[in-house]
Amino acid sequence: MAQDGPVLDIRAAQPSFDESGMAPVPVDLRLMPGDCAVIECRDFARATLFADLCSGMIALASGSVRFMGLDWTELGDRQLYALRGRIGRITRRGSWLDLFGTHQNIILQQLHHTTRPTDDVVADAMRLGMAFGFPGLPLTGPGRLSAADLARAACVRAFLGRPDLLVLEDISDMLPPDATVAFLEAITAARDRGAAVMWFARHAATWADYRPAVNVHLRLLDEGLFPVRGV
Amino acid sequence: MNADEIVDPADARSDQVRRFLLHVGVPIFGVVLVVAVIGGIGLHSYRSIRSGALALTHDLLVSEQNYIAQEVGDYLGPATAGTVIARDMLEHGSQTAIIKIFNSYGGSMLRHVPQVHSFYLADSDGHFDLIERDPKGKGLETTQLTGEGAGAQFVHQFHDEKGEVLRNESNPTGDYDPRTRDWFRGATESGKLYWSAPYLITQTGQMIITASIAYQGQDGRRFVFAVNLSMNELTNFLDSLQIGKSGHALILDQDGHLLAGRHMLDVAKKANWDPAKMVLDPTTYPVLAQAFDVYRVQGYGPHSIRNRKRNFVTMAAPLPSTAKKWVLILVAPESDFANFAMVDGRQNLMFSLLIVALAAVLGALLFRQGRRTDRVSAELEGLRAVSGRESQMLRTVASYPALFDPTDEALILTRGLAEMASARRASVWRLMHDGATLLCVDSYDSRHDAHSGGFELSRNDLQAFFDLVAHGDAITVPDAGADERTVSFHRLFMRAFGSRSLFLVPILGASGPVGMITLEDAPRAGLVSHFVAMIAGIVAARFSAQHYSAVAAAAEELAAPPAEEAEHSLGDGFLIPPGSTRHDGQGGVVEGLFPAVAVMVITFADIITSSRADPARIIALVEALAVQLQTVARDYGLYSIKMLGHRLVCVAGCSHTPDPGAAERMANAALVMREASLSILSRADLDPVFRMGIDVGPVFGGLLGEDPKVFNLWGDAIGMAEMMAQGAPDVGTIQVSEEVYQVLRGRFLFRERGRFFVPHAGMTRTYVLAGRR
Repeated sequence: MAQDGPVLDIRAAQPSFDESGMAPVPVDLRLMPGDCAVIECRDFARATLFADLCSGMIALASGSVRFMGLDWTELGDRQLYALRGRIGRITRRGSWLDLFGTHQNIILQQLHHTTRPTDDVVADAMRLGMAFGFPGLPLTGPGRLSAADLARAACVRAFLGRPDLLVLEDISDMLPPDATVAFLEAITAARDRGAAVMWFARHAATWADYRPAVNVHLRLLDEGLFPVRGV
Repeated sequence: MNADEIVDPADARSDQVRRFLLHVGVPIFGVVLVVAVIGGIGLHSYRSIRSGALALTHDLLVSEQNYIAQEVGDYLGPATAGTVIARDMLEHGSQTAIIKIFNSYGGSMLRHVPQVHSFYLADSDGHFDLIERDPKGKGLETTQLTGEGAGAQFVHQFHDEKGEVLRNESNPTGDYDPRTRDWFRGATESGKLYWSAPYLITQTGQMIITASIAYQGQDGRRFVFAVNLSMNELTNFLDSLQIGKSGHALILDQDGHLLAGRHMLDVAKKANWDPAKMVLDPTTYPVLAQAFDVYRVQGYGPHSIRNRKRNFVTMAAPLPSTAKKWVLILVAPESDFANFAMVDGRQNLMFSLLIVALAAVLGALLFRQGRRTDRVSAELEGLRAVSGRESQMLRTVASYPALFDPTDEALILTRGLAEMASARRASVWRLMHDGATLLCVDSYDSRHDAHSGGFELSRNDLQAFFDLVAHGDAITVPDAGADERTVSFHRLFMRAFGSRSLFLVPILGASGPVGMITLEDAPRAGLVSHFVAMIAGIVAARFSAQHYSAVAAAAEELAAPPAEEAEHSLGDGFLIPPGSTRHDGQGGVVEGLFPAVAVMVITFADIITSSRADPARIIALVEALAVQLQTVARDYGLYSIKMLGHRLVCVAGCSHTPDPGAAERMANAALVMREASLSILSRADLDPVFRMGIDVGPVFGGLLGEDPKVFNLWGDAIGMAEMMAQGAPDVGTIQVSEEVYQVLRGRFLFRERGRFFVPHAGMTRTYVLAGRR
């Protein structure tokens, strides 16, 4: 579906230091559909906090964070959760439920947020799983998967469905190199569909192959978010 | 919002709970309030009526009590007044005529006053006279004590009604001495009118009390005159009294002994005719006993008591003119008097319930009205949203620069249609060849966000459907597969897509229909019919502008692809031809189903094949690799190795009977091949970019085609091995299926990777082959 305005619009958002521990400096960022922003950040924790900020999980002292034209702070719980359902996210901290198999972890958000038939979701997940190097859909609990397989599963989970925003924290140290192609393919497909991508990278080498296709390049420091020019 | 999302985040924050509370809570609160008010009023009026009724009852009981007191006074009057009169007569009368006076006075009283039982006259010398009614006749009986000591006798003289003597009888006194009697002693000691305790005459069952008075005779003797009163008459009187509907009156003395009242005889029998034991038994007279207790605690006056869930009003009052302080107890159920209040209250309650029901109905109506208003406003909101979206979409369509450009595909039209109608698929069709075929110009699948076209339908197959289009009316078919007009269209076009309902709008040109718009599974199609009609108009204009140019282009697309270049005959892709490594030389191609074939797939990643390195060097590398693999295959007796692009399929155990060693040979070959490949690639300074997968299972095989005949193998094991290779956890690893693990776990080392859901195979485990044991 065509989206007229920006997908993500952060305007002078100043995180509340007391609640988040983020530096209280105003942040501005605007991602249009199809944009791919690479945010270089050496500190995983800082990247995670910024990703949380984009997902409306960090209290703001001032400014606003709008996703799909909706301000996170103005939504009721139901709307809030539904809106988060439109974000595909790879988290550095894992966020896996060991109560269920990995497959359930992967398809849970689609089953929860959409009316898509389960078979449909499973087929979609299986397709992504095979693209990322699984023989199918992993059923073993996340705690018993190897780090590489868990990274693959994280990718499958993030790209499943039709997310409007991809918030991809850096798991390049865990993701096997052969899955990189699938990863870039998935990013490209999502951008073609109209999604915006926010890709956190620790090293420039991580995204070197994709450099020509990246149209926003930023650096996240403690002092704030700074554009990198002339690279 | 995406079609399959459950909650629309753009929706206003839901105030459903508040609204529901308002719609349900207010009517319920109203009804509860009405009930409470009515209940309160009812209770208040019941209480006031009841207290009024009780006051009235008390007044009634007081007057009743006065009446009874009066009656009892009258009853006992002959004793009090008569005794004094008789005393005076006897005291001042002639001493010789005392007996006569006594007899005539007594006789007269007995004849006229029914409650008088008998009279006594005794003196201090022990003389005793008695007059009473003849127990057998209607006359009187006088008894005189004559003689003294053992010879003392009672002489009875019986008289008829007129006073004539009938007969005389006598009997021994049995040591009877009047001076020892209570009534004699009491009168002489008190000097006033003395009331004895009541006592029973067993023979007649009569309860008697005696009033006696003493006087000094002219000769100095002390006389005592006594009158016996039967309480039976009093009991009968109390019984006959109507107090309310079922009230009672009793007379008791201060110790609770029953003197007169209901069931007197029963009480007497129970007490074995002993007046001292004739007390109120709480089991027989629960209410009366309680009333007496209340009197003893609270004294005279009206009281309310509750017994066995019933309310009673009681009244305790002193009786006049008795020395012994008798108590009159009146008891009546409250309902006898206040019953009308209860009935009134019940009636009020019924009316109140009626009002409550009416209020509830009104509340329900209010609730329903509220919900309806809500629904209607939601519908209005929806319509407003639809029209807003419609105008937005129209703007988008209108602002499309090449809308009427015949060479442009104008994909916005189908997309707009699908979005507006929430359709799964929206298609634009054109009638071609004088209405003989329908060509799908553009079809938009909203779920996959994909356009397609070029589908052609012929009138020969779909006569009914073409007639429907030619008719020129928009129709909605909820189940296209069940409607005979659309069944063939459903079969040809919709079934494969999986859609069910169809909304069809013909596109009308200058001379009738020129095409149609179809919307599949479009729940909102009915709401946006005029938008569809507008799009139909635009499409009609485009069709007339196209002059069949687009049709020609579409026809070109539909034309058969050009014949491919003749293939180079470069063998059939076998590195090791089937069966060529068999030691017995009996190799060669076999056909049929092979039950347990070990299949290994090796995939080389694109990176090496599309490497930017020197092509000659790459080819040399691949050549070296191929030679190495051939060697290994021969060493381990594999059946064949086939190359397919950058994949290698190795097969072992291709026989009609299961070959137990095939899997082991394959695993050994795999380990050696991996090692060889790793060393070759590392020598060339390349990453080990290959993965291997092994499976064991049934496979079909055979020689296919004519010239050349090509040997091919196909089956689940091939697909599974390929999946194992593609999904191997890391480069340079050998992933095997559960079947291989089962066969080889005794001889090789495996590492479990985990459980997976695999297409066509379901749940399975995969393992990584690490090495030999």
